[in-house]
Amino acid sequence: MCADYHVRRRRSHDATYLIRHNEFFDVDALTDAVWLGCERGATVGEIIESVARSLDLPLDEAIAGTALTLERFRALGFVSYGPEAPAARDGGPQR
Amino acid sequence: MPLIAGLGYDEILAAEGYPDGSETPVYVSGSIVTSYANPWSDVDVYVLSDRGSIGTLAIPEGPNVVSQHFLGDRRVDFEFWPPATVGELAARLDRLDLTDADNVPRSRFSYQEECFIHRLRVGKALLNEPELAAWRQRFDFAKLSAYQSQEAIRASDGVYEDVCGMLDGGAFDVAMLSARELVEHSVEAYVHRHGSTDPTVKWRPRQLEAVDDGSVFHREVAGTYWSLEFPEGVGGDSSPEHRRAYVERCLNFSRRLTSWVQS
Repeated sequence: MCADYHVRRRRSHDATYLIRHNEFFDVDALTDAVWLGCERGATVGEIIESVARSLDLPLDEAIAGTALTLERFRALGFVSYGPEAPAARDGGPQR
Repeated sequence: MPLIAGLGYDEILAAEGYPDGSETPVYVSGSIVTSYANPWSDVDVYVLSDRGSIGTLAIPEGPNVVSQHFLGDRRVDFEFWPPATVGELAARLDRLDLTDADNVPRSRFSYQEECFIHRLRVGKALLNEPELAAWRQRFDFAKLSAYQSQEAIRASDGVYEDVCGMLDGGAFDVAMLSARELVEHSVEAYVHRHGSTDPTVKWRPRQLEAVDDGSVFHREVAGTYWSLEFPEGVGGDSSPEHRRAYVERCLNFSRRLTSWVQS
């Protein structure tokens, strides 16, 4: 999973936003968890695992939520599928 | 007799006529009280008093007066801060609303004021330690570090936008340098998130060392920071592909570290 560099995440008060230039997207906890996985270049499986763990969701719900969110991200141009670019892999710490 | 940088406490204090019978807190701070000091470091002494300097080389410097002395081969700077000014600083920090971002980034406190608060925190008393401790109690240092972290992220926003625009416009030369600035902002936010209140840019690598919690995560942050500050094989004359890849690495590092800071 490769997250587009134009998109950055910011938190303000209790809200989380994904920002692409002049576009602001107010996102919920599930969308945020999926984005964090994309940011660190995780695989789809890793993202599902992380979503299930961080939101305390049953696996089937985590799979459905992640798939839907990734598809939205893809449609918006926030992520692309396929081999990850070296820059995304090497660009920062994993946690 | 206790020494600091090879100078006796009495010798330092005498340069400005202390002790003078008052309860004025006098303390030494700055790099000289940390492991950051080097043979050329000066000795910064702070005095919380309205009395003012008796030195011959005293100049007003914003809210305070700085008086220079030369003892042995060291320069000793005394900074006199009026208690009312220090009290106002503590009150301003108390009043600070971290959810309010209706200000220019980093404008709630001047750099000089942030240095003062940090140095009050790490200072070592030369005179009247209990009075110094009482002043420290008035400052919420955790709130200052949270503010500094937040402001570093806010400052990074404009740079992030710049870098994306430069990259999309093919201006790799300026994008590379701005991307490096972005890395600096992100690491600044990270060290403050760990509680550092030191605003001094020149000590960034040392600050990064100081917040090492032994985690794999920290090791990766520190390693990536150095590799992005001094990227091998990337310079003004490298290929557009190399320059683009470097800038993208900086963007990725910045946003992932910022996400961690804001988690």
